[in-house]
Amino acid sequence: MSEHDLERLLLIRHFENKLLELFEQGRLHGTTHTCLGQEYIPVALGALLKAGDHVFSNHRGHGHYLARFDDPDGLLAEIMGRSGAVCGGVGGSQHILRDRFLSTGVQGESLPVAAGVALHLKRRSPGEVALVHIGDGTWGQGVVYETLNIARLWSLPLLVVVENNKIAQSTEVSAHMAGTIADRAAAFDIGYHFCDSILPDVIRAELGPLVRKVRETPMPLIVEFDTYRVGPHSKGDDTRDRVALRRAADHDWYVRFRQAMPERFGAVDRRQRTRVAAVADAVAARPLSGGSNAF
Amino acid sequence: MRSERVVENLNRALGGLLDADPNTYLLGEDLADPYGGAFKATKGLSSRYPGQVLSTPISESAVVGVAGGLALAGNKAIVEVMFSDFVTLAFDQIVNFASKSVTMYGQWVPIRLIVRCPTGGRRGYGPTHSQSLQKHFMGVPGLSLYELSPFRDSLATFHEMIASGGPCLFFEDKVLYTSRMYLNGVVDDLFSFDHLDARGTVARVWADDGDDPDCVLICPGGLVHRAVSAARSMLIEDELTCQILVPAKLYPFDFEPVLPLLRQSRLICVVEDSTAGGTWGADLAHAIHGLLWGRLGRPVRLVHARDSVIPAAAHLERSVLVQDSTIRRAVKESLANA
Amino acid sequence: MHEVAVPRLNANDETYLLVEWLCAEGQWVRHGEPIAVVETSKTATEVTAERDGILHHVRPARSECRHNDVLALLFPGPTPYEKFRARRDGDGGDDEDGDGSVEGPVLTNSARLLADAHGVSAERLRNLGKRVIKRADVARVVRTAEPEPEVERRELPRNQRAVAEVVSESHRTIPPGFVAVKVNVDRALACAGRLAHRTRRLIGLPELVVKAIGWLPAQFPLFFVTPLGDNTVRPATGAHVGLTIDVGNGLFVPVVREVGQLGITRISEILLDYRTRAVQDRGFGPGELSDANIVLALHNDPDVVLAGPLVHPGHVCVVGLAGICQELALDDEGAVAPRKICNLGLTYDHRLVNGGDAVRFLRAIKTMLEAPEELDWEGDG
Ligand SMILES: Cc1ncc(C[n+]2csc(CCOP(=O)(O)OP(=O)(O)O)c2C)c(N)n1
Repeated sequence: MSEHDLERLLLIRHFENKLLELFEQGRLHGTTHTCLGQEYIPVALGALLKAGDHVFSNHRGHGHYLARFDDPDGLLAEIMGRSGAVCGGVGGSQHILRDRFLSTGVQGESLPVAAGVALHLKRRSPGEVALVHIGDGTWGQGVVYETLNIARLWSLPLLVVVENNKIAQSTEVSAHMAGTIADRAAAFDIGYHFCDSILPDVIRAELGPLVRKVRETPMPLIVEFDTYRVGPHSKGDDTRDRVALRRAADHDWYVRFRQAMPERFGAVDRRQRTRVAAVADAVAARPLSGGSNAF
Repeated sequence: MRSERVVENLNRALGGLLDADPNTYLLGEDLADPYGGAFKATKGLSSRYPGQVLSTPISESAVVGVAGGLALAGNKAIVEVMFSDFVTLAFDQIVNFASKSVTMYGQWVPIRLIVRCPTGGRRGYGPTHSQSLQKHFMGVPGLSLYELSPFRDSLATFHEMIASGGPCLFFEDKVLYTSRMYLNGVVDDLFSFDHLDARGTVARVWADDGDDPDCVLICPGGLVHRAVSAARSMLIEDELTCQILVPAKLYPFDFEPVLPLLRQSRLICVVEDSTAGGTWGADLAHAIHGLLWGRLGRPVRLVHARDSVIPAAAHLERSVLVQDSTIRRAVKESLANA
Repeated sequence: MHEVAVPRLNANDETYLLVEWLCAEGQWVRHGEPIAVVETSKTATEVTAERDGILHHVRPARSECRHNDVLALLFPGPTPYEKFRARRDGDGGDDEDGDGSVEGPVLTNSARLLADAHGVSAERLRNLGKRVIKRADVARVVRTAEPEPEVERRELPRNQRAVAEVVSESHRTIPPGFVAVKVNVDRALACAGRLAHRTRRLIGLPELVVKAIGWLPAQFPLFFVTPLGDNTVRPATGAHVGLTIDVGNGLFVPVVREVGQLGITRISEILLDYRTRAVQDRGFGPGELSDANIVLALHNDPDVVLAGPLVHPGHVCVVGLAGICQELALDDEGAVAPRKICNLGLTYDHRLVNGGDAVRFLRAIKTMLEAPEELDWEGDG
């Protein structure tokens, strides 16, 4: 594991923990969805992306953003409504736009938008892709299938990354999805890959050739990550039983990597913890954001 | 030389846009040749601009989403929803993505997206293919509503929508398609038209220029023929002078060019094809009451379709949708009440 | 059609110069578009179109113009423009051009009704220069309609002109009252019959009434005076009764003078002479038509029930004798019996006499006619 990957993983982890802490202290307002346990997915994918690629994120998007931009200040300021916010404090946790990164808060909504961008890329800058993150629960949305149909028909360079944490808010995958994502991909004749590794290098090795095919053919691809949500859906709203929580915790990369490389890990962990703490103090001390003149 | 049909003008305008900028896309169901769209508005375009005109699956939400993505990436995207009734399926994409994105990211993000909505009844298509749903899109920040008008070259309206930089819905009355554009200020032997603003956004139809009007009818393009017919019978049979204002832009509404005329009129009547309740007309009436309070002789009158689904049978459909007689009755009733 | 007038450009110059046209004759111009350049001693200014329309140059370039002169016309479309050109070039008159457009103004229904009712010509309406003509426009035309120029004019006969003058003055100057009484003329007719038989003259009710009036000046002097204005009168010298005679040759009012001094025979002779002359249209001498101080208007044709003639200027009253009618009435025993009646009316100058006086005057005549046997019709008493 590269130093860079470890730094990013721990930056995201401490960022998300900090948010929950700030919420508990009543210093954050509104809502947030942390990606605790799933940080390795955007970090692993980051190395496969080029600057011209688009990333479409969702409600659980802090990790997606921080994997692309080393900018905890801007993101925290956005969430806290302080000056220096990425989007002036208008969008908040779920609505971020920066360069070729965009998140929205409506499940499934960004999938066709990503397809539209993919169509544009196919025409204007072949070789670039549009990557869109969705959860398992989002497969309940009809527009997902409308979009897969179109993406396949029009051979769009669309990379659909499914972070299957086996739960949607409080509903277990067994209660919200009939059949499998693999079969659904097959129904649309779209390439599919299942990935249960948490190791960025392994993930990249598996996906590298596939992503290249997406770029070069071009062709859509669905990648399903077998992953676990370690924290609550939002904040303090975890209704899972002990067994389920235990299983999630057992899969936490944080525990596994710390055990595997205690010393290296400890050093980076401390550094990022300190860094995030300093960022939080600094951002909290900033004046309120002025919004923007766009709205 | 006869003037072109409205649908020919529309087709020419779409062709003009596609021609002027290869980054312009036109998406929708069954647009491609030889079919050329359910109402033939896109006939010939897919042959001339094959990469830009795309027939899509029956997926209103995804198609508008794809168009939103194209617009996000800097293109101009036009979607034809086959019947405007189906625009409800793209409501999320329009309201929560395209309209929001213009401002919700704390910076101004141009979304040059036009959703074309063949609208309205009087063709016997029945309850789910005849509606006028303008009112459901009122007051969405970032979203503008326009309507096809026989008084305005559609290319000018398209340019205006694109220049706005925000998503726009363009409502196109289906009956209007086959009628002719009005040219050179002439409506018929009795009525003339001109424009109240230099850009030609608001057309004014008038017969008797001398006197202050008894009534100003404000109506979108789809109601022009019925409004003119009502104005004619009111003039000839009742000696009531009506002027008709036809704004190409429905929302947000620009009152400046129309206020002088509204001030002069004994009655202001807004006519629309939707059912009553939270409508464009009600919004206009509310604004006019605020702007001209103390000057108005009587409340702004609204004319709507009946509170009913739109039946398929012609005689039943007529009994629900606004007719010229509906307008005339309403105007006379309002003028009779001091 | 819309007129573009020369705007006021400065206060010093009487006239400006139309330098050039910026848009051609017949060109479609847009609202706000500059159409001409007009120059004052100081500046050149563009004149803009005040609406969309097809342009017609009213004046040539390089010509002088003044504030408010019509510079150009704007037509709402090609049809009215072509029509205008055709009319102006003198090859007009062709109202049909087959495309359904209508020449001239459109009339509202109620304007059309009014125009038809008054025969207002299409030409007249077109000259109003309006595209839509409403009822009020037609009403204005009707009100201000000048007499049609080429009508045949005939003057009334001299006699009728005199009548017109007299009745107009009467109407203008005399505030009249009117009253009528019913007279049972059975006995008067019987008496007249006897007198006629005896004298072999034509004696009927009119002769009796003339004679009866002759008896009244003493009892009712005010009915025979001549009003002089300022609430003064000239007293009468007797009863000079004018008689309206109209046998179809015009109305004449010859006078029977000093009736009080004439017997019924003489009166009947004079009346016969007057009637004969009227029938033969031989005319009357000036003396015969003047100096009356009361008039008996003879409306005694059958079926005339009441007469209310105008008071002659210079008179106080006029007696109107209607025709004889038969009616059923209850006699002294209460039985239904036929009788002949005649209504006797009196129109009077209310400034001099009142209703009560008028009734008493008529009653006096009535009494004489209803008991004629008691009177000496040949005498003057
Ligand atoms: C259209 C829509 N419906 C409901 C929600 C509320 N909501 C937010 S997150 C979420 C669960 C999403 O589940 P999943 O797609 O599995 O993603 P995860 O939260 O597990 O990352 C729901 C229901 C939403 N944001 N959008």
